[in-house]
Amino acid sequence: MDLETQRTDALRQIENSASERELEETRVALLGRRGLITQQLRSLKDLPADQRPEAGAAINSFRTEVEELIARRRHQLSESDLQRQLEKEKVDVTLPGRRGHRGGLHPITQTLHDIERMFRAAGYSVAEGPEIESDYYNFQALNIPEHHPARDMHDTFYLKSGQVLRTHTSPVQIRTMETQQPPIRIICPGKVFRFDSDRTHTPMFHQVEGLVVDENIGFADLKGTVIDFVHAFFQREIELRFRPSYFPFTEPSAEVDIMGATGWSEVMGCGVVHPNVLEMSGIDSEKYSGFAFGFGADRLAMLKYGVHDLRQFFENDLRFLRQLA
Amino acid sequence: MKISEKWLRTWVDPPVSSDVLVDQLTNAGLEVDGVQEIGFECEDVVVAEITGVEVHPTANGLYVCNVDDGAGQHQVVCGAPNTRKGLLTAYARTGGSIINGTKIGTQSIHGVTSTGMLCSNVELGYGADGRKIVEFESTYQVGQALGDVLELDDLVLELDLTPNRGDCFSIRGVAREVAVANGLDHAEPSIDPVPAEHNDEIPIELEDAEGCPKYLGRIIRNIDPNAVTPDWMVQRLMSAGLRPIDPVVDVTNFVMLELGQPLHAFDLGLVSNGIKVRKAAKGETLVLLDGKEVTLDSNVLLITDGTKPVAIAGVMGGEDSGIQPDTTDIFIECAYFNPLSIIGTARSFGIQTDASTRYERGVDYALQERAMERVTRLLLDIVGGSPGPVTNACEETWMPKSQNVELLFATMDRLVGESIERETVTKVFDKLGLQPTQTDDRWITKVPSHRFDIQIKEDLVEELVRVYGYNRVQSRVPIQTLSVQDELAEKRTLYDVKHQLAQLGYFEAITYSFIAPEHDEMFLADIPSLSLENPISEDRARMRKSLIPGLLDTVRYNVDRNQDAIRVFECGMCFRQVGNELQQDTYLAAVLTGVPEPENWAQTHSDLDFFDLKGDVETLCERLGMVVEFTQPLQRPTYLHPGQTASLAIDGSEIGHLGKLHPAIATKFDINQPVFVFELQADSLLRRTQKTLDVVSPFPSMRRDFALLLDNDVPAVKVEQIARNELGEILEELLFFDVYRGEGIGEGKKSLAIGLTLRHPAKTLEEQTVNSLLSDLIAKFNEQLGAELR
Repeated sequence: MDLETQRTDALRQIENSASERELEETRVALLGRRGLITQQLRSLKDLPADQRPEAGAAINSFRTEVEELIARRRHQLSESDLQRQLEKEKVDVTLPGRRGHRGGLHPITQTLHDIERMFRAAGYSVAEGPEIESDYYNFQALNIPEHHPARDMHDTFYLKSGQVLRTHTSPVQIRTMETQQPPIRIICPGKVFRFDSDRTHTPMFHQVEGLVVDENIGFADLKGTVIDFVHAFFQREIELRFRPSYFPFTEPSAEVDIMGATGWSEVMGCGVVHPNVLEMSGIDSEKYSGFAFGFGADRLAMLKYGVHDLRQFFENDLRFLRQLA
Repeated sequence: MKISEKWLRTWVDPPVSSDVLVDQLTNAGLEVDGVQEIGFECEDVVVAEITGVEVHPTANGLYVCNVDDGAGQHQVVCGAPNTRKGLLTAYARTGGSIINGTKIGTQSIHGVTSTGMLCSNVELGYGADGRKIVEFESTYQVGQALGDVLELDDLVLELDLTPNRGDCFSIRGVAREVAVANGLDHAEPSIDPVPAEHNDEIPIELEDAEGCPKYLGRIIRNIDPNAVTPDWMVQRLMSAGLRPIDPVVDVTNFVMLELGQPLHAFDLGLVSNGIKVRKAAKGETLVLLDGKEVTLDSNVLLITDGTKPVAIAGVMGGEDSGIQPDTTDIFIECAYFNPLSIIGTARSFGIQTDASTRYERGVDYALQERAMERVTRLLLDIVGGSPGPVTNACEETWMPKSQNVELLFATMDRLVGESIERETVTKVFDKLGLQPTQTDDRWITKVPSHRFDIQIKEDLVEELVRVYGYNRVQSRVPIQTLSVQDELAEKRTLYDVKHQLAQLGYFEAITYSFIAPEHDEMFLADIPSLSLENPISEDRARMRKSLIPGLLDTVRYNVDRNQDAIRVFECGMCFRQVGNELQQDTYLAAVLTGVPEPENWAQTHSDLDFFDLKGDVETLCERLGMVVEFTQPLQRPTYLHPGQTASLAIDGSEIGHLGKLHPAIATKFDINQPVFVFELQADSLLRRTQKTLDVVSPFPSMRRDFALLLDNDVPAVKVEQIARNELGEILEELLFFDVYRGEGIGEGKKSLAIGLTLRHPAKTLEEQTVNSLLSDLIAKFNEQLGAELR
């Protein structure tokens, strides 16, 4: 067989190799230790010396050509293998993804967290205290002696021991003032309890109270703080008014109303801390003064999220909770 | 308190609309809670003339009248004694209605047809004379609608008064505030002393002069028992929500509404020996006007007839003390009681009266003399009679004194946070009747008797701001020094913990802190229960010791609503009485039930088990940087499954449990599927410690896998402990990759497959070293656990 025929055969074999394995067999048959081309190279030494250069050049060129073709063919084959592989791996991307369980925080927790964040950023600390309180911390230290008509405003739950479920988080203010001298800047979030149950009242709810005591704190500071907070919470310039009211622990006292779709709606009580309260907690009321405010976080959450029945917050229906996840 | 706008405007009539008036009251601190329009409430009632009267043919005392209502003649049967020809009266037409809602029609009365009805003012709801039909003067025109004629249209304002404003519990008090708001004066009714017509008095003794420092009494003889309360007074009473009772009571109520002074009228016969005001003897009893018998405590102030009680002072009269239908001689009480002696009394009997509401908050201590003259004048006008002198028993020592309250300009500026012009302040104090004197540095005020709530300088600040306008005071925010600090350096917030659980696929629940007694008893029964004295309902009567009952309620609620994957947690305070100490600590609990993963097209089916729960707890603790140990608990909470409970500890102290809920408890909550729970002390998860980072070893690791044959009850953690002790720092990771029980290894045995990853921090481990370490380790396993290599 002449070289040209061998060349044609070899090229056809390469071209016909259908897989990388077949191509490798072809390569061994041509270029392997016993392969056609290797043998031909070996047999060069049998040729007369004057023919060797020409024959050698022809075989080498044949070999180079074969090597190149094999490489090209190998590339082709791997490309199409990859194509096949990719084709096989095709999925329906419109099927839903594989996910774990969704979880989420209660809307009241989220509301409280938002509020805490705002006040911490302004330099307030967060103070907490017990939910079962003594009569002293819940009432007397707040200038509400026994039988004071203001106790009617509280609808208190009592324990046999005479202790009460705190009706506000004000006891935390007292506990703070007893252990810390001004400047005091705290907010007191927490659960509070009142004997009341309807669409807008639950026997347990969440309150946030704030207290600032320092030199030269007046009603104007209270107003500015409350206005800033309300605007920050609702993220808009909401219309609000301060209305004279009465709490035994503040003087002057005010209720804060905000304008909603159906008119004014009460959101907060506040005032300048009563000197008796400061003095009872060991703070000099001639030197220091302060303001305090308190509001129901649940109520603000209702307004913010458009919930109309407060009781929904405590049913813990997963279909309700999932909405805020 | 309800107050009629019309009545108020007879005292002070500012040129402002009703809406503005309502705003003014609210802005003055007298919150208007509601506004109600009232008027004539009967339908199709007109002025009509009786054009003819005949006696009823069969029935005694009835008349058959011809009535002209302007539209025609009607035959009407009527029994009123004042029925007469020519009378202009009120006629309810067929199709109309009277005050009690009765529809008027045509009927046969003892065989005579009667069309429509002739009415008394009681039947029409604006008077107290039920015996007679209405009599109109001749200026009225036949056919006029009564609603147009009577002019009953009014606005009733519902005031929600704060406890400090006892002075506003009257028309007079509210009028004062309206006058201040509008810069007007208010009119007072002229009250002149009524001279005595006889000298009869009864003695008044103030045994408890501290509780009752002033008591005025007056006898009125020979009143007309048939007198009727006039329409105008009935309308005033009704606008305040009171019903007319009898003329004497109506007059005393009227004066109370008008001036704010409660009064009481006794039948003179009952107290003819005199009045003694004293504290009750413990156990003394009294039947009240409402028929209820009460047993008195020794702190209750009583009005007695010298020996036995006739009224609870300032609260309610006794059953027999009131006016009887035939009473002609009466004794009027007009007293000043110390609020402290009245406060709490009414509430302790579960009653609240118009009198107690006023006395508790305080009554103007200088008002009694005027009120006595006012009530006498009105009584004489309405029921007639002959008044005696006023007996005035007063112990000055115990009477409140007019106070001077001073306020420094500087204090005012400090507490308001703005310097309001001194003259403006003086004017405000003057309008309020505080008779201010303005000096170089302060105001000195003289507080009038009706503003007994003003006692300290802060009260003056409040009055100023209230009248000046809460919304006019400027706004500013407090100034503070900016110090850099990290409040949360040592303690993370509960929010961080909750957030991690939410990330793990749990929803947060908030349940009530009070739970049903039968649920309470299933948990931590060795800790005494804590009951509320006045629970809102029977199933919310106990303070929770654990969060789990609330969460199980939540599980059942959601299972009932077809939720198939329930993962819920709660973080909140629990209440545990330990010895004398009431521990109020915050706990974190979660429940896990239903399908292990959300339903999905690629689902791999398996049942939820203990290790789903434990995995979540491990992940949670790891994310919070907590090193926790799980052990078989020595004492297992009884609500957990005996074979699937672990105790969780940090640094050797137990912080809670996790496990499968005991099926018996699940059943009691009507939950019929496996539930897994954990409950931990939340505070122990808040600790934050500063970490240091180790250098990562650059040397290669070696992995060795083998299986141990062990007794079934040898816990895996023992194997891990031995391996860690033996191998020390070169043990990088220990993995249990299979647990096998069953065929081929013998009863009571298990095969535990272990993968060890070993790496030395400072050198490459030699094959030989590792082999020798491992054979030592396996010898240890054999020695300490009886383990064999499989």
